[in-house]
Parts: sequence; structure tokens; C-alpha cells
Amino acid sequence: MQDHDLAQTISTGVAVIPARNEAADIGRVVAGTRELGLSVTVVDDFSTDRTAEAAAEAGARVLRLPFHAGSWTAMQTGIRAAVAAGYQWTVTLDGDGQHDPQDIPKLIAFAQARDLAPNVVVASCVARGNRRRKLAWRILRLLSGLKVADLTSGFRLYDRQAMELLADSDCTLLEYQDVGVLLHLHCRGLELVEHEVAMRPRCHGQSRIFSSWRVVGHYLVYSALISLTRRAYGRPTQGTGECTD
Amino acid sequence: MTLPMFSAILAGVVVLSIFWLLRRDRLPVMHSLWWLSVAGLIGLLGLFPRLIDRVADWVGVAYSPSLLFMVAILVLLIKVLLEDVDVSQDRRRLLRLAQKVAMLEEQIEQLNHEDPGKRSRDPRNS
Repeated sequence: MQDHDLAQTISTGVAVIPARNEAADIGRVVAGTRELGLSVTVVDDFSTDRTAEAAAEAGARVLRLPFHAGSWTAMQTGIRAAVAAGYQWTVTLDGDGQHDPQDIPKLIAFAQARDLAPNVVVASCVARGNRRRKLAWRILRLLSGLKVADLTSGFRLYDRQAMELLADSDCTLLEYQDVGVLLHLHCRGLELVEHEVAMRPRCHGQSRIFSSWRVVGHYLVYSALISLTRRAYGRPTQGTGECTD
Repeated sequence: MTLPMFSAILAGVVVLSIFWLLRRDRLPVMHSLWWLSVAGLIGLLGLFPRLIDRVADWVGVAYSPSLLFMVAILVLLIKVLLEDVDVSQDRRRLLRLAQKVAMLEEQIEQLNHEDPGKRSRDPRNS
């Protein structure tokens, strides 16, 4: 891929990073992403620390939610703002530094190298994860009918069509950026593909979803219900490759 | 006290409570229609207790009080379900608004940044 092509693509997209109490890491994540020449929007989910200030100092555009509304609401805020600003694609990252911004050009190159341009590229890291996570993935794949291995990865590339679907008020009541989001796009015939990347261990804190059996239980019940009520159920989809029913 | 008296008082209390809540603007007017109907039903069945036996006979329920309980539970179930739909709709609107507030606030900051003279008009300072 040519460097000027990449620069051209970079200029039409934006990185969206939802963050809640990530003051320790958010600055580094933003700076790392800005180094690529990419615009960064950080959505601060009513943090009680200096997350918003740290993100702004590192060069991000910062949107602040007026109350704690959850990670998906924060993510959707960023995507809505990106749609409104006219960006053509969005990459989403976690604010805790587990996703390496250096992988973003690889995801772009992967998306562009395919004949049929995918609407969504999920940057997956199947190698990570403990027993709980592996079990959850397996169950959710079974229930949702999605063929994506890493359903919970927050590191994703969305094209304009996916962004517009996700910014819609139909998606507002989702809680997590994973099965519900992927099913919403899958059922509307969008193509989802996966690309393996390495993920770094979190520097501070740990996964909120996979922290304890109780939280995993809540997450699994929620995702199971989403999967069973919203899966495609044999509906013909236009997607090919990794994600067909 | 007789049954008709008891249920008439019950229905009266429900109607008066709804009337009071409407006067105080604590209840949307159309919601009151539901509760007034419920009050009417209580009053009707209280004044004419034989009515429930007739209806039970009609629909083939052998023990008429069980029909009464079934209908009461169904009425409450439907109400709670509709209420839940309403609450979700409100939550959706609340979250959309919160997102819009976040977006607009950032735009105001941008505008003030471009034109520092207007900074005093930042709504967060007022």
C-alpha cells in the first residue's frame, strides 16, 4: 500500500475512544493515535478523574456525557459525532491502552486489500483471555450464529454505512459494543470480517466484563437474550466469507 | 358493611385519588382514562356482584372468583408491560439527549476557542 494512499485514507477517518476514569492511560493512547495523523474523538463517560483534561492535552476532541451512561452510549456518541462531521470511516479503541494504535494502518490495509470491501473489520485477539472469556465466546457464537471469533473486541473499523446504522436511535438501548452491535449490522446485510492483532495487557485495571463470575453472568444473560431475540434466523444476508448464516 | 357498600367506597377512593392527581398535574390526562376505567369496573362489580357469576358462566369458568383474580392479574400485567415500554422509550430519549448535549457542548467550546471574546457566554459558567 502506498504511503500517500494511506495518508489520504487517514485524513477521511476518525478514531473514537470511549473512556471512563482512564486518566492514567488515555493521554498515551490519544498521542499514539494522533502520531498516525488521525483525528481522535474521546468520549468521556462522566469520569471522576482527569480523563477529559488528559485527552484534550494529548490533542483529542473531547465530548463529555452529562451523566454516567455506559460504554456503548459513550461509543455511540462518538460515532454520532463522526457521522455528523462527515467522516467516512471510524476506528474504535479502548481507552486503557490494550489496543496498539500502530495496528490501525494494518486494519485499513487489510480492509482495502479485499475485493469486496468489508463494512466492519474486527481486530481480534483470540490468544488473550482466560477460561471465562473463552467459554463466553463459545456460548455467544453458538447463540448468535455469528462467525466472529472475538465477539468482545472493542478494536474495530467501521465504514460509513455501518457508522450510520450504529448512530441511529434503534441502537441506543444496547449496553455493550459487541454481540448486539454486530448482529444489528449482520442482520442488515453488512459484511463483517476479522483480522488478528496482538493486544497488550492493560497497564491499569482489568477487563470490566471478565472481572468476576457475577459480572460475566450478567453479561452472558444479557448477550444471550440479545442473541436469541435479534439473530438473523435464516434471513438471507448479502455478506460473504467469515460471516454468513 | 355489605359488599356493594365496600366496593362502592373502594371505587370512590380510586376515582377521587385520580381526580386529585389530575388536578395537581401529577398524572398525564390520558393515563387517567385507564385508572378511571379500573375504578368503574370495581364500582360495577361491587354494586352488582352477581355480574361476575354471569360472566364466569358465559366463558365457562366454574369458580367465578378465580375469573375475577385472573382478570385483575391480566389488567395489571398489561399495564406493567406498557409502562415498561414507556420507560424504555424515555430512556432512549434521555440517552439521545445526553449524547446531543455532549456534542453541542463541544461545539460551543470550539466556537468560543475561535472567538475568545465570547467565552463569558459559555453556558457552563453561567
